[in-house]
Amino acid sequence: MAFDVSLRDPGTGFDIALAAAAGGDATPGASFSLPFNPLDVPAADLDAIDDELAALLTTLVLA
Amino acid sequence: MALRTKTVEYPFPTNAAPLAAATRLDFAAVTVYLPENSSRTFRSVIVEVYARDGATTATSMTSYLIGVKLGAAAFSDATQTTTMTNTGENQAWMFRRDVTSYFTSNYGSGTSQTCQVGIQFGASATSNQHAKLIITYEWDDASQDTRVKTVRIPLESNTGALTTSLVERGTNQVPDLDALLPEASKTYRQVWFEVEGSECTNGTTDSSLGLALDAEASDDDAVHENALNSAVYYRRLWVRNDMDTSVAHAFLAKTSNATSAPYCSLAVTLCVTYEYDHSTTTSVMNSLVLAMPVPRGHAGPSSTNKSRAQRTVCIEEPGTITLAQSAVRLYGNAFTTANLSILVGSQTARTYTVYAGNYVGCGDYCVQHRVDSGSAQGAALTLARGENTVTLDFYRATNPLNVGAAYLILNYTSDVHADGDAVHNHTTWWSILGSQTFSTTDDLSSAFAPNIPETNWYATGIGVEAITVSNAPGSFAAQAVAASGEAAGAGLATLVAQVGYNDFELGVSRFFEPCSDVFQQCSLYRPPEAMALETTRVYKAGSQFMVANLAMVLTYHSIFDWAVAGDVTGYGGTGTGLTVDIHRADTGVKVGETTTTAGAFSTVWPDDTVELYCVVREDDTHVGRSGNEVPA
Repeated sequence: MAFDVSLRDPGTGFDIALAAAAGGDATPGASFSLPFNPLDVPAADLDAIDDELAALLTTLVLA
Repeated sequence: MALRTKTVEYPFPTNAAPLAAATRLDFAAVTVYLPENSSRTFRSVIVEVYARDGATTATSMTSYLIGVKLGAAAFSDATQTTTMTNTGENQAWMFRRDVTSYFTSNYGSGTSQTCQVGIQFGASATSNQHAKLIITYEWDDASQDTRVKTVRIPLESNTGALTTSLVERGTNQVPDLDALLPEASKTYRQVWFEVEGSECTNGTTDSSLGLALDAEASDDDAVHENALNSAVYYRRLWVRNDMDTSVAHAFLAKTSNATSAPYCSLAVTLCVTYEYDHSTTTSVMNSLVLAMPVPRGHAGPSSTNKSRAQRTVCIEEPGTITLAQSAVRLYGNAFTTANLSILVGSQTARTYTVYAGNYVGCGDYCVQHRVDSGSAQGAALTLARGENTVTLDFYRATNPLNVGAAYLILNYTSDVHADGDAVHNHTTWWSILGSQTFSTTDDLSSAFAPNIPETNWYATGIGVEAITVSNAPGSFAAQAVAASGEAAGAGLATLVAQVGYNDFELGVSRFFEPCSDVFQQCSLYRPPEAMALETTRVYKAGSQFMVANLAMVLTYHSIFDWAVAGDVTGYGGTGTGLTVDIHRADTGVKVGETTTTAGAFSTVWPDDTVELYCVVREDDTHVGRSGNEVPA
């Protein structure tokens, strides 16, 4: 249903584990039951994602 | 069906003859039609009386009597013996008496009853006395096809003073009532104009106020004694049950002396109490009165540094929502020549002269500014289902002046809800404290709470209204006693506070303050910082050196057609009894909560336009948030 809530273990401290609401859709922009809010993601995590993407691109270019 | 509440008004027109001191006046009987007599319970009945003095020398009023009589029952009189020392001016008084218990005992079970009001003032002669009943009752809406209501249709003030000739105020501001009011099979019970404002006196010649519709001759009121050259707060109830309701009318006004009584920004509202057939009605006029949060102190000094009062109006009725003739009304006090520029929403400012000279202010000025397309400035806003923001800006163009109170008279049409129009937004008046004596102490009410019969209600507006008569620089405050666990805890919490709002002279001032941030707004949830609206509590009028009263003005609806519902998954326990916090998606503010049963939750909701999200925390390893969604 519309306000479905899927409980997860967020980890320690203020960590947040993002997941689709039950019955929802985790694809950004796909539905209004989307649980993902980029503003909720700590900057440190975004930095880590950036680092991983950069490493991946480097790998692809080298390949 | 269900128990509902409503408030209707019945006027006793302004008396045409002066009245000697200590002489009783019983107004002619008025038939009070209350057709909803199934499970009817009177919850609040107020008699409001007004008189202007008629004395040629400064006279201190020593007592006031307010009596009420229903049918064959005897008059019930109440006299307050109290002296308000005259400050050397002409003056006016406005008092209220709570007569709820008398109505309960004597109105009977019928659909109408005759009523009289009696008044008497000690020591001072008076003129232009009038009275009004403000009746709030509970009723069962099952099989009550004939219903009654009171609507207020505001006219826009002129920007300048009256002259000694009848001049129209705006253009055809009195609407074709038959066309404007969409209910079926209407029977008009009372049609009257409430004409209000400062006399703006700057001379000692006696005067009178003349009113007319279209080409009529002037209907002058009783003489206004001006020997003491005082700018008195004035109100006239001009009852026009003979008005042709099938056409629009021009409203004209004049003064007999443009120096003694120019009435610079006279404010006029057409009030109509009428019955209609609910069973065949498909569209209704929703007529609301909503306080605006006026910034304290003097009005802003310029268009750049203007005063701003903003509020939200939640509209949930079905069908097309159409703004009808509506306005903002402002009350205040000035000390010398003063202009007030007013705009709402997308309008440009219109500048009203509220004081054209160096008057001795003996009570409030009043100005009314329309917000619909009939305003001289054009429409200020459009309305839609959901939340509507109303923004009132005002600033002074010349000398400092106070704005002590402002409110919105909002009229809009909608379809009729499936549960009937009694669930729509409607404004109700609840007496907290009748007018007391002049003293140096505060006045405390008995334990009071509005009695809302519906289980689910949403308060579109909660306001506290006070009418004061003072003879010293005013500092008025109204407070209510919070309980432990409410607001800051057990103790008085402020509802309205206004310091230095008037001159040193004796006069009438009006306050109407929104308290939606003090009380809970919805039956579903009380934020910890808010007081429970339905809990009885003592209210206090900070009424040193004045006679004051208090009333709650509650606008609410009971349209809970939507649901916040979902399933919680992934819980570690049984999934029952988990708290679901409901937040607004735009602000993050928590606005409700419910609990789960085997993971499922559902609660009714009073809106389907504002996005929400739900948060559940079972424990530190079971946490989740829903997506953003609109209740459906």
